[in-house]
Amino acid sequence: MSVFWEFNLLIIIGAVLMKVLVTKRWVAFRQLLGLSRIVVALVILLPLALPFFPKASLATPSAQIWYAPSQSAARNPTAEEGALTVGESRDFALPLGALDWLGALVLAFGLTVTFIRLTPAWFKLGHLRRQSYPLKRIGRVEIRVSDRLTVPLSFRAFSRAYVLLPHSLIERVGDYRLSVSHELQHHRQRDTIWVHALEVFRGLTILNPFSHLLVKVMAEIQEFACDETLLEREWISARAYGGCLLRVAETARQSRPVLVGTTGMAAGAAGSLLKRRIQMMVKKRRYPKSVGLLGAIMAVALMTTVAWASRSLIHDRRVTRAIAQSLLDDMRRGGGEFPVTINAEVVEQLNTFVGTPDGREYIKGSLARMANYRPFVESKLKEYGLPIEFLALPIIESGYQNPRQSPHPLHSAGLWQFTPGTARNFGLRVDDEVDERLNVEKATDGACRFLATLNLRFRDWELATMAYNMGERKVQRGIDETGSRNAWVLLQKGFTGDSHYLARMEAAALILRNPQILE
Amino acid sequence: MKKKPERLLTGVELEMMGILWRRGSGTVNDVLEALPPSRKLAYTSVSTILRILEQKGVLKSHKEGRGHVYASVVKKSDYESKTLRLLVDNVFDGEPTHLVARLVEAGNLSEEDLEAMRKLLGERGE
Repeated sequence: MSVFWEFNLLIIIGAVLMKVLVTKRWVAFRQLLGLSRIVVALVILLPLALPFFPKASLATPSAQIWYAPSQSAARNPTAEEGALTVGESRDFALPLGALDWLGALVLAFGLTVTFIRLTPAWFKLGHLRRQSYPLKRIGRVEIRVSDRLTVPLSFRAFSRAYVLLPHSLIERVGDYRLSVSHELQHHRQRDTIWVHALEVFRGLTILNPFSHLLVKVMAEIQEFACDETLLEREWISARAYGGCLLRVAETARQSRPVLVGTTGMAAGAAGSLLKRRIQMMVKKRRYPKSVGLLGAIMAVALMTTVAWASRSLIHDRRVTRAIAQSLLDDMRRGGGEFPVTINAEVVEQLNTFVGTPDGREYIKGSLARMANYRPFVESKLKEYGLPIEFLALPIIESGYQNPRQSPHPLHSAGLWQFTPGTARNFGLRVDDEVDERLNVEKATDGACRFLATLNLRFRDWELATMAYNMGERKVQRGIDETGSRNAWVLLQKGFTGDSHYLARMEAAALILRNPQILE
Repeated sequence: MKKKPERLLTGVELEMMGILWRRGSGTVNDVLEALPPSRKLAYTSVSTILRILEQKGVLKSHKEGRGHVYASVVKKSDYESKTLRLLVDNVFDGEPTHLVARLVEAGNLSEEDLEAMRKLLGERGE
């Protein structure tokens, strides 16, 4: 349900933002038109795209390579050894799961209403078109004249674009030229395409009054942008154009309402809007040439929407520092040796893993796959005297996924995400024929020896973990320059590879020891 | 050409047709010249209207020099009949006598008119 609410919140923000912008005239209407379309697209796309964001951020960059949906086909259900099997690849959750049946009902209702509204209009338009006579073609647009029409209108049906003119316009050459220019501009601005998209959008969000406001404001912006563009042409004077608009408005007042699915001069002729359009023509305005302001507004709009959207990533459950501490105590009682630090970063990562549906899914999937490797990896960790908590390292490196195929030669690979260079240092063969990083036994053995080496050098498991991620040299440089041997101090001073790596590893270690917290 | 339901011409169209019925045929300029000076129509307007009339099937054109010469396909009397028929069908319940009755009532018909009509009917009737 949460996605559903956020979707509606986004609409409110978008509608209000657009309304303010169209009233204040801070930017040219043409720019506003583009901006409003981006906002509508964001409002529609963000909730749909949400489920795909968190996954990427949960895994390390190298693990993402194996996490991409495109890889799933190539993913291997069994490891090379045969004895060790990898768990199922995970499915992506769709936001529809968050909508309950009531939401689905509202959607169905909205689409039905849209269908009922649009179908007769379409038939009528088709009828009008067949009863009209072609005048000429301008580009892809066909200009036609109809006896039955009182106001000009334009519409698009699939790839064909039409302008229908009332017969009476032919006699008035000036108005005829202005009307054709106006309608062509609507086609050029792609208003005739957007009108369909907006109708569907309105249908999908039928119960939200702000979506109607948003659609209305967008229609206004279309008209304003159209006027603005036309008035820049030399042959069009504000006086003649405004007069033409007034005459059309007068005719429109006496005739039936404009058809759904069309744009046209009369659509923008309703009372207050017409007045504002004429005011706009009279009061010309200079806009700052720089796109800086527009950029700033777009950034604000984007950040607002993303901020709202990302709420769904966060926290249907909250892990406090106290709970984290108790997890650590449990771990210690169970004989954990890894020196987990409870600080804000670790708590934050813990919350990402435990507090969001996506995080839980990631961890659960990793733990399920880990079960297959656990006896072997544990025996190796013991053999080299490493803390059992390093079982959590492949969780954050690969999610315990081991592909069959070698990755790109420069990418890291395998459960432990070795780079080719490190792998060769620890005696693994990586060449065109064989990639032993994908051999779980050899890779695990190599990783354990690497970790043991790092600990021999730094004599600190946190520093060793950091070095596993960003290299020994950088860690050494950090120690030399800061004079501290505290991994968290190094992180603070900017000696980072993946800055969340250590926190993520410790959070995963805590969960590994207390898997019940996922329930 | 697709069959379109029978419809009457618009006011301007009838104005153009009136000129061409009188002249028999003519170019856009001929029509423009024939218009009363008070009626200001642009060349393009007239040209457009004539082209639409051609599409409606009441005019045909052939190229002559740089322009087109338009000639009516439908006789004036035929169009008048058609108009009356549509009028009778749509307004007078398909009964021509109702139309005549209304004309008499409205006082638009004089004795001479009626006599002329009788004569006309007599000619046709034989």
